[in-house]
Amino acid sequence: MASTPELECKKILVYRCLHAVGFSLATQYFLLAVFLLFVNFHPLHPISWISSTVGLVFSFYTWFCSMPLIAATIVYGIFLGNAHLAGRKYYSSRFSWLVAKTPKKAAFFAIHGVLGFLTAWLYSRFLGEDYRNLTFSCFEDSTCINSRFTFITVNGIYAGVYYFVRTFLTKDIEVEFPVIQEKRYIKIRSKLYSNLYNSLFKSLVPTLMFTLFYCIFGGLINERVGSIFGAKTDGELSSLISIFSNIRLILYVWVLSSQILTNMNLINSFFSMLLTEEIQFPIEKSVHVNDGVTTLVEALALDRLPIAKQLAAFDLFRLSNTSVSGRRQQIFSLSSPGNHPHTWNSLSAQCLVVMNVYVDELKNSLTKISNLKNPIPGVQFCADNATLNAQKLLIRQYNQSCSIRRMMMDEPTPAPQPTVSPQENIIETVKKFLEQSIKNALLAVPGLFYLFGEPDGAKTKFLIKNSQEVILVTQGLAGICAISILEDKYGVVQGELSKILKALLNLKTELDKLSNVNINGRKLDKNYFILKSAVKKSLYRICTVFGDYLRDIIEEPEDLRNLLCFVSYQEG
Amino acid sequence: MVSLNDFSSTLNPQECQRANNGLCALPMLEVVSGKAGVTDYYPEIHITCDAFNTSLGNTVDFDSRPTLLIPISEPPLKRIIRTFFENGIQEAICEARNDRTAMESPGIKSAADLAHRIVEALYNIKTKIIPGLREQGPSTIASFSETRDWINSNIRCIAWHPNCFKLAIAGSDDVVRIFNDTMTLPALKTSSQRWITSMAWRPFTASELAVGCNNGICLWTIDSTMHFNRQMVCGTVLKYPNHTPVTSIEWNPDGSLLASASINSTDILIWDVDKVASAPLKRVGLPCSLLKWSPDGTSLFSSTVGNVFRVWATEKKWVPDRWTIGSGSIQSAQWSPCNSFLLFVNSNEPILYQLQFVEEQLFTNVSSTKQALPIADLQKVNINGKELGGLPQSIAWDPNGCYLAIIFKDSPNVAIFSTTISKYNLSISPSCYLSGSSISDYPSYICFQSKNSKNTNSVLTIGWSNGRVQYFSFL
Repeated sequence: MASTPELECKKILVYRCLHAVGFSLATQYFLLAVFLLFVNFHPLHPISWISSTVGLVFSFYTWFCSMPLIAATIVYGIFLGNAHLAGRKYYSSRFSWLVAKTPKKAAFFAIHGVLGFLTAWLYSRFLGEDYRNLTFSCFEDSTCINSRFTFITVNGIYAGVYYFVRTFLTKDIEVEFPVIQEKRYIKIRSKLYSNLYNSLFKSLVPTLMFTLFYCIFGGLINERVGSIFGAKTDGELSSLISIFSNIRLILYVWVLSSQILTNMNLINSFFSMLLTEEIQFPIEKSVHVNDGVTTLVEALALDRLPIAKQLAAFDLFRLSNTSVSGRRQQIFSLSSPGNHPHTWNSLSAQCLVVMNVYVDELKNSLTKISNLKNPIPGVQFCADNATLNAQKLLIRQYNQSCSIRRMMMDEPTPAPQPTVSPQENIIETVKKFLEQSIKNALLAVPGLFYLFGEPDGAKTKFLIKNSQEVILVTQGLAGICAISILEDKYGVVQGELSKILKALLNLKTELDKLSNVNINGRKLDKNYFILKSAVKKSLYRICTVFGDYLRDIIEEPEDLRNLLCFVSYQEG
Repeated sequence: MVSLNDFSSTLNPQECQRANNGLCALPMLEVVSGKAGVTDYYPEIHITCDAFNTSLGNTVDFDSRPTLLIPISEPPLKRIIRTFFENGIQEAICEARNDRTAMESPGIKSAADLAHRIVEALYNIKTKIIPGLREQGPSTIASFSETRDWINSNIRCIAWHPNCFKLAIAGSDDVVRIFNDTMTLPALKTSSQRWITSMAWRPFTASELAVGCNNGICLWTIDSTMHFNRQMVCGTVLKYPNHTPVTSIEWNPDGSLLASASINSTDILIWDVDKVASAPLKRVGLPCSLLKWSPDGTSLFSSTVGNVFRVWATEKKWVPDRWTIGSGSIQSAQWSPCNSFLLFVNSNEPILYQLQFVEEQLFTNVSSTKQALPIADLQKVNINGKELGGLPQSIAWDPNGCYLAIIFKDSPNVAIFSTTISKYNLSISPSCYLSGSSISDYPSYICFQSKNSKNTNSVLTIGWSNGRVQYFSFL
């Protein structure tokens, strides 16, 4: 059963998803109005053009026709909301990814197709007689399939599917935090304009491609649809010339495709926009009111709800940079009675958990990368030996020159203790050999490892890709530490400073190992550089402020040496 | 480095302030700059850019310096073809239309005139449809730059690292030279980096430098351990449609966001440099030219090429506060270290203005509107045969909020004022003025060194027209 903080956060997020669906429906209606203005365009009678369009937009017929699209949009919204609120899962092989993702992707594919079809169908309702009906009486007492209608509706499906393939086929649904937090209506306006404008260009090539597709398969589609409805094909749009000679149809289809792409882009943008809107989590629970609010620390612990965790991390980041110190004062405050820095202790502990868990997972994942398995320790070992040997040689030369003899014997190197009997050893070797041979034989089968094996560094890539909260937590925590020198009057932060610096250094060490590594011939994605930059910036921020006191805070000389590079701004 | 301790006489603010209309007057006391007091680790810098190596070398219209090349005689067609391959179609058409070609081959001239008219017509149509595509040449950049004589000046921009002793200097040869207290680091040059207008070191990083130039923003990460012979490669060039040339860039105080403005675009771009993502701050109106982030990062000042400027509240969902000035455009502006005051000068008046930002007013009066107050009169004066004042070019305020330096468009000295900031009040009094080493020298760029662990003083850095960099410390 989900914990209370998780439920509380889910409530907020579901509420935001509902808002996003509401905004999507409103914009769909608005776009329909724009489309109606476009198709009813009558320059000689502007007043009747506008009045008839407005009348049509608010007519019962339009509402009635919109119902299927509204229903599909709500279903699409449910899908999207579900995907956004789902936890992140690592799939070690392509096969496990396929098994887990195929049903969801198939359903999502279908809903895109349906949404595209229903949009096209709804829009075709307002076109001329020649475009709005599926069948028409063509010859004496016989009906034909209206290929113009099928052209428009199949294009709707095509546009929906095209959007799915381009956006979601290989990628997971995820939100990206905006660069700046602007007012909601400014963001909506900006997204609406940019989407309307860009979709017109982005839909041009797909529309032409669809025309080509329809030219080849249009006859087949019409035949199949005709066989269902017992109608003949009209054969009107059977060639490329006949399609392109109908400029009006091409124009309708182009505008319709751009509207569908705009619709889908906007729905996704609304979800992304609303889900990444900052939440100010309370720092400590109110003692008087038990209203079940989720605190910042509780939200940071919500591993099963990554979006809420990211929002908490984002709140921490904002909290550390804001000029208003009210909430930070709560962090630095002491409990009453008792005078213990509970708030800071719990917050820093949770942030350290987030960082340390990530470091541990990253460390484990790095051991599986073949490029990183051996070379680094080996090189280090040789380098140490070379230095030591050189030093020994110098001492020996000095001793010889001064006729000093060495009276002490070298320590005998301990002989390796036999732990197993020779017979067991042979069995073990054979067993290992057989295992390796079978493994190699299986790997040699084409496609088998591709499907069922774990690609080199796949876990590392997964961790790097999903490092958003670590990026924000490191910077947030470092910001609070840096500003504590001015605002923390009880010095509560100083107790944890060494642990925070240690965690940051550990993270930096692990990330440095990846600096020149190509995983499966590919460079790491931009999140790696963002994370690395965030860790360095965090270290710089703390070291800039606490540079003079580091010798009192840090005990390990190696760590101190590393940190002093940050103090003198010499770490690249 | 020269300090105020070197002055022969102590300053008497009462003597010269509040001259006319209650405004602070220009300083009358000259400080003779010399070598005394130069701190060892401040590098001696004298930048000389080759006349041939400037970014504007080809644009003869803008560079009035005499050329050393001896012209050769070529047939007109050969000359036009060579110009086409060397400088492109526009220059080739210009070459075909000039008097020399007209004399030698009138047919080519008339054909070129026709081609020119067609190109002009197409260009006019294009700029009418998309005004943002209007090309901005160096003269337009120079008119909105804080650098005096931006086109010809050896030093175009100086930037101090906010956290450590590192200095970047951009020359008219489009090379950025980096200096620190121990060594000279490699020079930064790339083909993308032309017409440098602004530079900014990223806070809380060792060596990330953003350079605003004609092609966008070049981001450099300088490895201090790098050998001299190793080629430096510009990491990323941040580009955005119609957002060139970039005329102003500023990092926010924690180094997470970079703001950029272009005189070709009405949008201000806020970049998340690590993600290589940007968000435009859209407002209808004139293109933006200058940006200044307040020291605490809560406000972003942006001026347009007209008489409008805005102050964006970054923590309040980026809502802007719109202001207008009487005439001209904002030439230069500076935030006070306490974030409560903004000083600015405009391009048409020799007056220094102050704008006060008080967080919460206890007794808000609805009828009173917020106004910028003139606080100093910068009218040109003649002091012992030396000119001081006039239309201001640039202002710089030291990080302690004690000194304000101003350079002017047509007088060769740097005026320095003393400033005192209290919670609700800013007082300013004339301090002294500085001259160059010779009469022909004038200050091109001024800025103060940032405060950090190695430097707690106010060190004014002046880039003179002859390429010399002078440090002036207020101990």
